[in-house]
Amino acid sequence: MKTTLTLACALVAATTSAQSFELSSTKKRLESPRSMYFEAKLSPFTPLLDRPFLDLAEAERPYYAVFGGGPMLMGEIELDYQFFQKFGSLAAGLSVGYAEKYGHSIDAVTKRQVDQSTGLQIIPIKALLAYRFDWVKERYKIPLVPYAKAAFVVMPWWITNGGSVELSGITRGSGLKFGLAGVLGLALEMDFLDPRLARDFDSSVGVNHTYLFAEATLQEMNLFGTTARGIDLSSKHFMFGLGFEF
Amino acid sequence: MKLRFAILCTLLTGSAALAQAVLPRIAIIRVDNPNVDTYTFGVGQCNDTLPVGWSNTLTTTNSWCTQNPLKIWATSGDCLDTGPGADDTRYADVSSPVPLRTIGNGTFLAKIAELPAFKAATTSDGGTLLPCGSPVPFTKTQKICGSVDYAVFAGVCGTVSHYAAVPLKLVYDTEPPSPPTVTSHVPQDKGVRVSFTVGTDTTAVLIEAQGPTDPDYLPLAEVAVTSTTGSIKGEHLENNVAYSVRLRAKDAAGNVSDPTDAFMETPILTLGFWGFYKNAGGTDGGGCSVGAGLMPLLLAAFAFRRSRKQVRRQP
Repeated sequence: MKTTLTLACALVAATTSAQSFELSSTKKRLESPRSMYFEAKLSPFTPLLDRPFLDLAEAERPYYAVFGGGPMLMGEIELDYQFFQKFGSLAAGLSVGYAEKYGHSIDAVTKRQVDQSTGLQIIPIKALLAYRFDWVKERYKIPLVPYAKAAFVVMPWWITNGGSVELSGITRGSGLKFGLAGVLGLALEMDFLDPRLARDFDSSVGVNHTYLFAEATLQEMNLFGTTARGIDLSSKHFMFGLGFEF
Repeated sequence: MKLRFAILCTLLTGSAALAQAVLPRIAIIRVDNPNVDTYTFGVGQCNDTLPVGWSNTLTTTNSWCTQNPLKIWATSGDCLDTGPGADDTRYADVSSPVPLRTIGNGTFLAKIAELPAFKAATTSDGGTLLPCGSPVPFTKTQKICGSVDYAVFAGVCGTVSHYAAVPLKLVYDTEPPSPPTVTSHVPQDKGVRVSFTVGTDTTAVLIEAQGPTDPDYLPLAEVAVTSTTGSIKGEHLENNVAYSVRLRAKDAAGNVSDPTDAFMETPILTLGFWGFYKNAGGTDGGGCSVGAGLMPLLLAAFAFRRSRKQVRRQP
């Protein structure tokens, strides 16, 4: 009796194993080719605008005095093309973001805040190289992908006072900054939460994998052609978002 | 038995046909904004021609029953389903080849000056006897109506009945709205911001200001309002100069109210982030630091060009 039961269990196990292997190999076979990566991300972004003014009291530093020192909210989208996929993937990409911050203008005489808004808007544009170490994920099914990016950054910025771009004397409060950025991040592949849904997402839309990620960015915008107390849009910030590999 | 069967068949067919009988649903609409059933105009639009449309949004399937053309007319009284009265302004009837038994629509032009309340010395339906453009403040609602005679099919064609269309209201309004109420005003850089409340018939608020050397009040700005509270900013003033400021309300017909009581306000120099930054000793000149900023790109382009040249030199 015991022998029969053991045999039955072994048969069931073997069948199950064969089925899962078949499913796995089928999944492997059916997966569509992937070459692109799209990310949408959000970040509290605090530019280091007061860094050139550290010799002043906090209340006299421009970003703190006008905006209270709080972060801007930045949204960014990124599209990468993967041109190497053997040991991890290497990709070239472009990203575009937008961030804004509003505060109250200040009375030039009394130095009190008045009921008029002033705003800072920036559009960070990055040309980047990204390396995603997804070899372990592909080989051992561990759903974590560490990655690194290096980017050349172009950042148009403008400042408004009462709805229009502010003038100070003859200088206009708008410009363009150039810099470099480095990013380190970790992505969690979410396909394991519902493998069947993930396969359907691939077969119907062509999205191979979906990721939730967090990344740390070090952005230095004071490298090229900036004066001692120039507008400093450098930052150290974290970004969080969703990524789609397709 | 046979008789019972015949009666049953007739009843069944009749009830099925009755269930299928669909009446036309006709509406007279504004061509520029079909979702609004009213067109408000004032003295300034007396010579305008208004494009008007009609639409039938239900299909009727019984094509062999009697259907007379759709009659369209303007009246200063109520829309009657029997058709236009003697003093009403009648527009072209809509008939075949645009039958109302199919979903359809069309347009025609209505001259405002020819609306019945403006063209007749006396009217049988109680129209007001003032010509369009009269300076006497009054409000008059007229309507563009439609009706169709139609026999409903319920197994057999029924008697011909009248069906009225949903009318379009034309409101001639020369009465100005009430002036706004100023709730607060604050000085701004080269301007002033004024908060206000207005009546429900106000669609826009205007701000005017008079400087010490201005002979009269000059209009500064106009802002559309969609609720009874709002604010307006007057710009292009000089800082540190006292201005007399007042508001007016405007309604949908373009009538402008009397001004509010004037109040004094002096625009002040304010510093936005850019001004504060410059005052704190900021040295950025704005613009783009292209020369040095593009250096990495120029270096990359130079390196790329050199590598291409080396590739070409190789045999």
